[in-house]
Amino acid sequence: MTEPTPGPLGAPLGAAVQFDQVSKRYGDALAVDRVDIDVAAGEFLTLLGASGSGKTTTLMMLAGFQMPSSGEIRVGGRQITHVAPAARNVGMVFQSYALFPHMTVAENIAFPLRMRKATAAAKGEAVARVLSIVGLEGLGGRYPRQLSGGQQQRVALARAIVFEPPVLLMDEPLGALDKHLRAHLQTEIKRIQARLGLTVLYVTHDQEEALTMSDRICIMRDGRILQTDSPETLYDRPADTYVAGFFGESNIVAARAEGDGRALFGPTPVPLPRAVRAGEAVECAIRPERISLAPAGAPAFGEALAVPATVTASTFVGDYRRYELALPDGTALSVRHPLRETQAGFAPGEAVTASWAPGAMRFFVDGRAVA
Amino acid sequence: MSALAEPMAAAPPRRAGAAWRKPGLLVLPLLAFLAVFYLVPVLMMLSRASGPALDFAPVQAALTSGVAAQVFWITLKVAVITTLATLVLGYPLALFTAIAPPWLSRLLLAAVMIPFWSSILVRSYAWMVLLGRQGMVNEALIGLGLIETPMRLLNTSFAVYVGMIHILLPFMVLPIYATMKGIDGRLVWAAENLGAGALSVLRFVILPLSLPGVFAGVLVVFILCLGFYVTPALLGGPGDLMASMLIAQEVDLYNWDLASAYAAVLLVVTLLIVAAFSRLLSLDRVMGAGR
Amino acid sequence: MSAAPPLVMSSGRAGRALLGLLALAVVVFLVFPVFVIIPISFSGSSFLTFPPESLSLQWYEKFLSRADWLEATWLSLWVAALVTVLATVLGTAAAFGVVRGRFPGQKLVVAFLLSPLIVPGIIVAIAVYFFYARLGIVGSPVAIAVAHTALAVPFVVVNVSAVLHGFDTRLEQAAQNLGAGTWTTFRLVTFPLIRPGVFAGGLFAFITSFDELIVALFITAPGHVTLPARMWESMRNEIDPTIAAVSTLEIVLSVALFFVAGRLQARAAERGA
Repeated sequence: MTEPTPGPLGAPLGAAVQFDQVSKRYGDALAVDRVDIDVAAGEFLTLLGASGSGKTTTLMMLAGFQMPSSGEIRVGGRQITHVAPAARNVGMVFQSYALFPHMTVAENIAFPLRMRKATAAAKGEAVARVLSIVGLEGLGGRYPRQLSGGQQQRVALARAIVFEPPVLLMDEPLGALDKHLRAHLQTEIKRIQARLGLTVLYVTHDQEEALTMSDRICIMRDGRILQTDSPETLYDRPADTYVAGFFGESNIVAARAEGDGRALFGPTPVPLPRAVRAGEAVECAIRPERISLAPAGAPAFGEALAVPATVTASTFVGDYRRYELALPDGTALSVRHPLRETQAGFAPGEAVTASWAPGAMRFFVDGRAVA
Repeated sequence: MSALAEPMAAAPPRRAGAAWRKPGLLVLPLLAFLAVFYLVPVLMMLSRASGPALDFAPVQAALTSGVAAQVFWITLKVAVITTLATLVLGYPLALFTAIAPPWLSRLLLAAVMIPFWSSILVRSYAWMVLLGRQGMVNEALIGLGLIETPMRLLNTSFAVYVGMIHILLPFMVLPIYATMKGIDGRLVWAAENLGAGALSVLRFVILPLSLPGVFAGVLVVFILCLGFYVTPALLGGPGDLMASMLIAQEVDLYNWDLASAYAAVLLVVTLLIVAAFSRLLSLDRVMGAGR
Repeated sequence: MSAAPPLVMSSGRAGRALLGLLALAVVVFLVFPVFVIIPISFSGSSFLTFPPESLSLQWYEKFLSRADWLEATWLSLWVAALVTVLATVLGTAAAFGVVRGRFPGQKLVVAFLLSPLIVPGIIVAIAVYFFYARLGIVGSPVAIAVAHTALAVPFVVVNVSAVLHGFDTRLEQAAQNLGAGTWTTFRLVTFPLIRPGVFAGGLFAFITSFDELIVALFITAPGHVTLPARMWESMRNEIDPTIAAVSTLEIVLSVALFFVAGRLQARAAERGA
C-alpha cells in the first residue's frame, strides 16, 4: 500500500484556502465573527471548539451550504463565496457519513464521477483505485447498511476523494466510532492525506484527535478564532486561559505582582515576565506533568523553583501516578508523576519537595498570556 | 487516469432553484387547488345559509326546528355511545397487540387494518346480510334456542351502533396502539423491579402513558361519528335519522338554503370540537399508525 | 444509543390470557363480517343465506355481463387513477413545502390541508354539488376526480411528510457537494429514498377515491355513476348476491393494497431511520 500511485492521484492535489473576514449572522446572533483563516496547500488544519463555537458553520460555508453574511472565501486563489455547492469541487466527509442508503458502495463512490459525466471505464477504474487506497477492495457491491461503522467511514472518505478535489472537509468524521477504531482511522486518514497531498480542513471537538492529526489547530469560541498554531505551540504557549484549559490540565494560582518583579506562588516567590506591572493581578500556571517530586530536603537543581509540600492524596492512573499536594499556605497542587521501577511512591501525609523549571510556567493577565 | 483528468474539472456552476431556497412555495399549488375546489364551494354553500334576504332566516329555521333538534340530539347520542364502545373494545385490543410477540402482533394489526382498508359500503352491506331476518345472527340465536322466531335486527338503532362501532374501531385501536408502541419497555421493567404487579403496571405506567393515544382516538372517532351517513342510512330505521341524512334529505327536497344552514351548524360544531381539542388531535398519529 | 426495548409484561399470566381472549373476540368481530361476504358471493341461490346451499359463479357472471355494473367499475377506476396522479403530485409538493419550508401561518395551512379528513363528507358533497351545478359540470368524470382529490390529498401529505421528517438532509448536501444540481439531487437521492412514502400515499389516495360514496351520490349523473354509487342503488332496491360478488372483488383489492401499502410503509420507515 505504500508504493507511489501513478497518475493524478499520486501528484499533490492540495490547494490553499483563505477565509477573509468571514462572518455569519442568524438574525441578531453572530455564529461566526470576522474569521480569518489561511490554510496552505497540503496542510492539515483542524477547527477545534465546543459545540456552538462556529466550527461547523465555518466548514459549511466553505462547502457552500451556508452563505456568509460578509467576507470572502477563496480556494486556490479563486473566489468561491457565491458558487453553488455542486460546483465547488471540495470533497467532504459528513458527520455520520451521509452515504446514500439506496446505492451500493461502488455506486456511492462513483456518484461524483457520474455527476462529472465520466465514462463507465474511467469510473470503474477510479472506484477500484480509491477502494484499494482505503483498504476496502472487493466490497464495492455491498450496501452501506451491510458495512461496519469503520468501513462506512472509509467509504465516505473514498467518495470524498475519488473526484480528486483539492480540498477535503471532514466534519467530526470519527465521532461515531469507538476509541480503538478511531485511533486506527486517524493514522489512516493522515497517511492518505500525506500520500495525496490534500489540503484538509477537519472539524472536531476532541482535543486529543486535534493534537495528534493536525499540522495546525485553530481554536474557536463563540464564533471567533482564539488562536491558530501548531499543536506544540498551542500546548506550550496558549494565548489565553481558555486555550490553556482546552488542552490538558494546569495548576493555576491567582497572585499579585510585587514590586520586585515577582509574585507569590503559594509561599514561594516566582519571577514574572517583564510585561507584568507591579500591583497587577496575575494568574500563574504550571502543568502537572512539569512538576518533579522528591523527598523533603532533597537538594534542588540549579535554577529550579523548589516548594515544600505535603501529599494529601495519591491515585494510580496507569502510566503515571497522580498526586494531590498541599502547600504550607493551603494552596492545592496536582502533579503527574511518571512511574519508574526505581522509584517508590509517596504516601499521603508524607512531606515532599515539588520543583519545576521557572521557564515551564505561564502567566496570564486578564486571561491573556503575557511573556 | 489521465483520461479522467478532463471530466474531473469542476462541474459547471449551477444556481439553486427558487423552490430549493424557499421550499415553502411548494405548498402553493395544493393550496390553490383546495382553495378553488374545496374552500370556495364550502364558503359558497355556507353563504347560502344566510338566505336570499341575507337575514339568516334559514339558520333561524334550522336552530328552531323541532325535527332538527331531535336529529342533532340523536347524532350526539350515537356519537357518544359509539365512541365509548369503541374505546372499551379497542383499548384491550390495542394493549394486547402492543405486548404480544411480534408475529401475533403483526397478525392482529392486519386484522385491524384490513377492515380499515375495505370500503364502508361493503362493511355496511356485510352487516345487512348478518342482521337480516334470515341472517346468521338470527339463525344462530334460533339454533341456540334463545329465541323462537327471528328478531327484527336490521333497520334498528342496534344495527346502526353495531355497524358504526365496527367501522370506527380501527380509528380507536391504531392511535392507542401507536402510543403504546412508543412506551419505553424499560419503564415496565423498572416498575416490576420496584414491586409492581401486572395490574399496577397497567394502572401506573401503561395507562397514563397511553392517554395521548386514547384522546386522539376518542376525538377522531367522535368527530367521524358526527358526519356519518352511509351506515345509519343502510342499517337504521326511520327513527335513526342523523345530521348528515337530514342534510341530504333537504337537498333532495330542493330546500338548499335550509340544507346549507344545517350543514353550517354541523360544520361549526365539528370545527369547534376540533379547535377545542386540537392539541390532542394528531392526524399524523392516526393515519400513520399502520407503519 | 441502544433502542428502547418493546413493552413486555412478565407478570400476570392469567390477566394476559383474559386480555388475549377479549382481544380475540374483538378481532373476530372486526374481521368476520368482512369475510362472511365471500362465501355468499358464490351462492347458488338468490337468497342471502349462510352457509350457501349450493355453489355457483352466477353472481360474478351477472356482474361481468351487466353493462351498468361494468360501466360504473370503469368510471371508478378511471376517476381513481386520475385522483392518484393529481393527489400524489400536489400532495408530495405540499409535503415538501410543509416539512422544509418556514412561512407565516404554517400551522393553519397544515390544518387546512388536512381538514378534508375531518369535515363531514356530506358537507363537502353538497358544497361541491351546488358549485358544480352552477358551473354545469355535474357528472363529468374529471370533475368527480377533482372533488375526490380534495378528499384524498391529505393522505399523501401525511405519508410523504412522515418520510420527509425522517429524511437526513445531509444526504442531499452530500449529493450537492459531490457535484449534483438541485434537480439531479432530487431525482437520484431524494426521490428514491422517499418513494415508498409517496407510493403509500398514492395507494391511500386511490382507495379513498375508489370507495368514496357520498360525494359521488351527489355529483354523478344518473345512469353514469361510480361503482360505490351503483352498489348503493342496488343495496337500497334489489338486494341480491351480485353485491356480494362485487364486494368480494373489492375486498380482494383492499387486502392486496393493504399488503402493498404495508410493505411500502415498512420500507419508508427503514429508509427514514
